[in-house]
Amino acid sequence: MISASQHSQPISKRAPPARVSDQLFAAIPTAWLAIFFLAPLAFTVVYSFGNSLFGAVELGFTLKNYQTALSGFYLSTFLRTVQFAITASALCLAVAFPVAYFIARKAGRFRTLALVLILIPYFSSFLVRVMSWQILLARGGVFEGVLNFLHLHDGPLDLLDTKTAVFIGMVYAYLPIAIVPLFVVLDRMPPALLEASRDLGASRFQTFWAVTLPMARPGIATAVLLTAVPMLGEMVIPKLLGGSRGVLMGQAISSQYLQSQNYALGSAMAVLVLIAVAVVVAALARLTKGFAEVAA
Amino acid sequence: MTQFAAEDLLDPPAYPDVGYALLADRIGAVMRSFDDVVFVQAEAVVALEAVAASLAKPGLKVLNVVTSMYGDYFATWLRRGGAVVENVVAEPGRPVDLAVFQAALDAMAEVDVVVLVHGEAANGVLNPLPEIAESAKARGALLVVDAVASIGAHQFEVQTLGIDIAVIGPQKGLGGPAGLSAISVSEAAWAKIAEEPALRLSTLSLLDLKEKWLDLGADALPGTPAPLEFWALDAALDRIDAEEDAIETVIERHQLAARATRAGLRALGVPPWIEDDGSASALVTAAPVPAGVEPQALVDASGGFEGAAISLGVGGVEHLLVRLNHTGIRAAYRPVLANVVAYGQALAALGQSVDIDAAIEAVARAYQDAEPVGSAE
Repeated sequence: MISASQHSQPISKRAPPARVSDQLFAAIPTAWLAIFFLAPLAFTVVYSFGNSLFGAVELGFTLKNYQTALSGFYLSTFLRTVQFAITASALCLAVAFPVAYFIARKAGRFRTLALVLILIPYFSSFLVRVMSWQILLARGGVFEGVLNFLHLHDGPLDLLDTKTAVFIGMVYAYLPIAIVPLFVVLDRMPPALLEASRDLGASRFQTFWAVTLPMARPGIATAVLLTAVPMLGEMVIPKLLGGSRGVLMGQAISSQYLQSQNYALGSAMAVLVLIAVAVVVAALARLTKGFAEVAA
Repeated sequence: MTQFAAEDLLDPPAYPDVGYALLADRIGAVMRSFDDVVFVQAEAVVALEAVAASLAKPGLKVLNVVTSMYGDYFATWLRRGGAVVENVVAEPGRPVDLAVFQAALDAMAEVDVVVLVHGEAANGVLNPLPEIAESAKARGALLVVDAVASIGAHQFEVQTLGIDIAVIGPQKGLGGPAGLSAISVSEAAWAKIAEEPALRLSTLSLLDLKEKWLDLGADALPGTPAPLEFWALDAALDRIDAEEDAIETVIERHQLAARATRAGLRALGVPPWIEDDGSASALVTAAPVPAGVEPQALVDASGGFEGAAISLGVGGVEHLLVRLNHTGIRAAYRPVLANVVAYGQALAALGQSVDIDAAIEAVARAYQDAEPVGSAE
């Protein structure tokens, strides 16, 4: 205790004294997080080790819920969710990168307009945007008409309530938030670096592969973080476009809470999703590790 | 439904493979069961036969409560598989007498399984399930319950009562399709079913359902599932979940329909066939066929009354009672009132003395006094 205080003294001398108003300001979000995030999270973790009663949990310690959550249907739903999130996030990235690159490098004076056009859908309700896809993808809808007109498909098209519809919805919904961080890193990338690469004899592809892509790592990591993490818990899109049939974990957890009333199992499944999120965040932290030093 | 368009049922999309397990979970919640739930793609009587065929082993000792022909069927199916079945047969159209049941149970030196129909749509009986469950558990026997005609109308709690096998059909209290049924199976029941000689390679084999569906991750159902039935069950469960207290609201609506019907009958001057309210089904109310009245004439005379659904009792009680149906969407004020008035008018037409005005008032009062129950009228 004594040595700790001794160590802390020089630091406190250098740091400006914290004002009471600053501490108060900091206390508000801290309290908010503690009450509305940490406390429910703690309840979820505690419930996940309890015994389920219908619509209630008997507190205790059992691994039964995790055993159930990691077996049979629940395990396959969890794995399917992880697979969905990774694939949909990769698809988002694949579409977002060229778009962001074009806006950052080629759009010239139209870049602001392009960015505004990408962000405009965010001014409308998420629910409305997803529901509009129901109309587009429904049997007899616009998609079916266009594909039939182009002779790429013949007859009725049952896209709604399928995994494909969920993928389309996921990529559509999360594309803008993948484009923005990529745009930021690509926009800030010094053109001199790319020119130097070309001067040293690198082809366009080699320049992209050896310079642009590594330099864009923070943007890629942020884009993946902003897409894959919410996708792991996404419930609205699978429900509206996947037919509300427990396609993904979010829906399965919701069903355990609201329909099956098995709160303990739902909590264990939620904790598994949290662990998956933690793994994604750790992997992304590793991806960008040392970037600051390199950039400096 | 104002208009039925059969062509809308053509070319339905397949029920998604990932949906079956969630559907089973939801059915489990309706039954208050955390045990495995499997689907039998047929009407519930097939599910009952599947249970009997899968459980039956040479020498299996079963105490079987018979309060309708379904009890008889079950005994026959069990005996076909070599089980030794002791029947406790109730008076026609009456619930099993607990003392008689207990005496039969005590008389058996060894009992492996106790079988019971919870509620009888055939004659309006409600058997004393909690008491029988307690006695069966005290003897260490597996408890098999046919809850086809009680689910959604009475409290039915698999976990609390320790029911090992529960069979339900969605077509009655749950207002769902008739071509599908579900069975909740406990670990102990699975162990008994798996004992050799176990029934395999049969459409009646529960073990096949376990090994070919549950044990493979409860994804795609084996064979070609009927999408219409599963979509309909899904929609029926959605409708229940949309109620304020989900299944509890549905149960209360049936209970209210039964209370109102029974109050109406008493006001008519004709006591219900089963006088004890606690021993009567909330899906149908059995009303007596008075002496000197031809049962079919009574049903025919009530047939012209719009909205009423009155039919003969089934399984040897046709001459004793008629059934006033208030099942599913009929568990509402107007159908209940129509039933009581139609029964009263039919009796009056056949020369019986009844007070129809008092009956109407009694039904109306029962609904007036009750708390609003869900979305039904």
